[in-house]
Amino acid sequence: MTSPLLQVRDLRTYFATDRGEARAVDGISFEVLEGETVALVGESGCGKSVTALSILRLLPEPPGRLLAGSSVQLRGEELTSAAESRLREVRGGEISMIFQEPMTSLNPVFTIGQQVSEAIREHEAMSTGPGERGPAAAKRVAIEWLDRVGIPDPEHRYGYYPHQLSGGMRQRVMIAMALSTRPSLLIADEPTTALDVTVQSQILELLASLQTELGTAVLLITHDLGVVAQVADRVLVMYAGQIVEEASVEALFRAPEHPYTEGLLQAVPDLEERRERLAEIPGNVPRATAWPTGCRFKPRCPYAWSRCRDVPDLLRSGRAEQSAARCWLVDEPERRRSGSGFGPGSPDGRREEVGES
Amino acid sequence: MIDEPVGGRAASEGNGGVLLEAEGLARHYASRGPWGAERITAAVEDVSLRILRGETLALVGESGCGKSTTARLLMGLEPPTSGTVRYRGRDLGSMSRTELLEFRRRVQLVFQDPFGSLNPRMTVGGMLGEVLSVHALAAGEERGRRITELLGLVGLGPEAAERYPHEFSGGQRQRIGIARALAVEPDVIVADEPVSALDVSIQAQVLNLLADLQERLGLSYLFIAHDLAVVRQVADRVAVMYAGRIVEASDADTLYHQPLHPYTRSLLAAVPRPRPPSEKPRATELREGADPPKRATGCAYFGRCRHPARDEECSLALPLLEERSPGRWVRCIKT
Amino acid sequence: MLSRARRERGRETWRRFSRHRQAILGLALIVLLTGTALLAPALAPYDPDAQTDIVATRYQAPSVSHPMGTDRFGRDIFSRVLYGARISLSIGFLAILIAITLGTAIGAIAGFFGGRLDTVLMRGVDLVLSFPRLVLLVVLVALFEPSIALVTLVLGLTGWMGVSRIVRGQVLTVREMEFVTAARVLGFGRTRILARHVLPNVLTPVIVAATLGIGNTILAEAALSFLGLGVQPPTASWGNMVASGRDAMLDAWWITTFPGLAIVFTVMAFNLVGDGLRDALDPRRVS
Repeated sequence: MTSPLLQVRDLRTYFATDRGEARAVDGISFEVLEGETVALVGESGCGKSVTALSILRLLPEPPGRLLAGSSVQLRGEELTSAAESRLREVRGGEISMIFQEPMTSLNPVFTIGQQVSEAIREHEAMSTGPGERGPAAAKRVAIEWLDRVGIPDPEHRYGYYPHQLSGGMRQRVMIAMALSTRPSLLIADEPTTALDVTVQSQILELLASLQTELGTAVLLITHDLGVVAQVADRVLVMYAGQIVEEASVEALFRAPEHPYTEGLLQAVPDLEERRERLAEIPGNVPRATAWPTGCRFKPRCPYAWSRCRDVPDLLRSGRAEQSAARCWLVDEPERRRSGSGFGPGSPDGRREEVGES
Repeated sequence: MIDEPVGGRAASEGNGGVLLEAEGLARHYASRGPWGAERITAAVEDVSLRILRGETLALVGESGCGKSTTARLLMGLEPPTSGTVRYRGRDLGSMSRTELLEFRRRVQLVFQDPFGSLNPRMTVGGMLGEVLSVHALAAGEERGRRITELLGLVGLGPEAAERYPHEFSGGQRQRIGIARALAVEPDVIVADEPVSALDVSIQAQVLNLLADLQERLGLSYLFIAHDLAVVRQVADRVAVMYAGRIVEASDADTLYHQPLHPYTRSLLAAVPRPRPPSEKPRATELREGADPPKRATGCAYFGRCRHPARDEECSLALPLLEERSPGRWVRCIKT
Repeated sequence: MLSRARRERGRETWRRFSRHRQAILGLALIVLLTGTALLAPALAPYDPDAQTDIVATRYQAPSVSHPMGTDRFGRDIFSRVLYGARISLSIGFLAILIAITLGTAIGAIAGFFGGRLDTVLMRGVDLVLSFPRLVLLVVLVALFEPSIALVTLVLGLTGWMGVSRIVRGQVLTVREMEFVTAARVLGFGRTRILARHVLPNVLTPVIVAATLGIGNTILAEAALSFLGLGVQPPTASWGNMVASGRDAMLDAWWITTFPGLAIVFTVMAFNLVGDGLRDALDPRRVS
């Protein structure tokens, strides 16, 4: 069996805040294999972005800190204890990252061409392989890349400043910068969230085709289940700092195992037909300073019973290959049938708790 | 030239069912280039629509298409460059002070940003109480009762009145914004991207709440959104905007099942569906090219259009919004 | 009646403020100064203006009977510093009150109504700002008979420009926020929107500016009095006390040193509290 490209084991990232310690990422483990696309999906505050930043050690420390016992291995090399100089090589070298807001991730005072060239030159200085060097070669490669990511008339656009481009074009430039160093892993944090839907589909297609061509693995961080279904091979669902479900994209959308995933899928409006009412997940997302005890989804779960006072493990299930859910229902599937499921919230008199739950 | 208002049913019902109406609405902004040359940008051009009693009309489009500007024009928050807005037949531009105050009571706005739309220095009860007192709707003990009632309508307990906005989550703040709009007992609510800042699970709660309130209070909604799946869930009729103009409008079922305008078709095709990959969605027939060059004449969508019949004719003259069948409007000469 | 939520918010601010150790030190100093100023008649061992036997009591170095010594008229410096605190502090507080009121009003009107009114008001601010403040003060005071009231008024009338700029900038931001649009849509009048929805949201920087401004105003008062244009002898103010001792500075250092120290500590105290308030009230931390 081939060893994974990226292996994360028991990652815990905590933050010191005014309200106490926030356990933003609280013991998550997963792998990314060479060339595959793994989606990390969850709602705001679930810890998905902190996970990405923890992998590259880009968190401000303090207030953040990686707990002892956390492990992030890139092809077997431990990154949590790596020297800062080595991490700089990894960032933008073996692992690249793109962000949600392409306007703020590009420097407004340099042309987009200069920024792509700089990324190329920065990393060729570190690499020892053969190939052309020098500013002229970097410029040629940069123009090639601008062309590759679908920027029309790249020689001319090389001299454009970020503000002269649309959001979609800026995201294309970010992709060119991220992939021009031929990373093994691309971490994409909500790469299309700020874009219009037609532009989003173009960007997702571009990413997919470049990924096939270059063999890059992608860790996609998103809240959008539609995007997940379109691009991912495997899915990790995060809730309250933990991975609550892990499955192939097919299995996840066909038969979600964890009640949270089930609720999310039922809460999304359907493009094909109007539903009578949307299913609701009652209550609010808990705060990282005060996760519920036992199963963290228990207060919002329609199936919860006495056993949920104990923290469930990530349990393997026989339903589909490689799928697992952090839920006792995996052990006692008959309870799902007898449970009520996510009703369409009743229109009358439903009162919400105010403030933190 | 002014097109017919989008709103088919009204024609057959007379004007009795029309609450809010826009006719030939346009809004231009002037900006100065580096050498002082004035450039006119049309944010909204030639928009006509009608909102009927008890219905939800959705205005859909991508960022910058003019949908939010249309909302501001309809609310009288800025004056149109040309065209008129009428509420129950009365022209907004020529209303007296008292008529305008009445208009403010009847047409309300719900915002996108649950953080910026509530005054951080006022308690929820203070906010609602102020609305009731300015419009002399309830005083004394009656005011407190009414505040509790409004909070109950949006699913919040009476204790919420004592608190400040920052003590609530995004979804709860959106409920407070809705309660504030309801305080004046409006009959039309313009909701500008009311759920796009919310998480999926919270979004469903707010969409259900809006549906319940419509049923209970007989409200009409103008629902402005970029998310076509959300619009599917709430809209009776849909108008699609592109580059400041309405390019297609019809009842929601028809629009989603048989979109006519190439832009609507590519918009629908681009929405990623949360379905297993093996369940292939409808053929994504019309895809778009990258950013189009700006055009001075002809169809604004010409540069991005991938309609098989697209030709030079499209680039010559601006297509009109035509009614193809009752209530079904399209601005395209090739469909 | 104070609502529970308001009390809670106050407590939160106080908690953040109280973690600022220097701000607490500043606050303690201000309380001490204000207290001694109020209780000056009870605390002062001598009449501050009384000249007893000048020949016998003048230029006495600090001692048990005169903890800060005496000046050339034999007056007790300690008593005069206590009484001077009343003058300096009340001029500081009143002048800053005038400056804040004027600055907030002008800045808010300019920012909220905008257009030509804004242009006129802000060019006015630029005009006033383009004169050096001290020169302006000297000219104004020279035109009239110097008195405490005049000094206060003049300091207030020349200190509002910074505040009006801060307020205008804040109003411009707040005016565009959605809760203000919501108020318009609800049919609220412009005065109500300005008073109830815009102004309360711009007061934080004003409070900070006011606190920092008190220190500056006390300094300016001292400077004016030092130049003989402010508080007139024999009434004691820290500024004119420093001035009166400058001829004998080498022989009788205490005459200038003690009122000078009083000025330094007071200004420092207000600045420390201002910094603490800025951190505690920072709106980014309230959410």
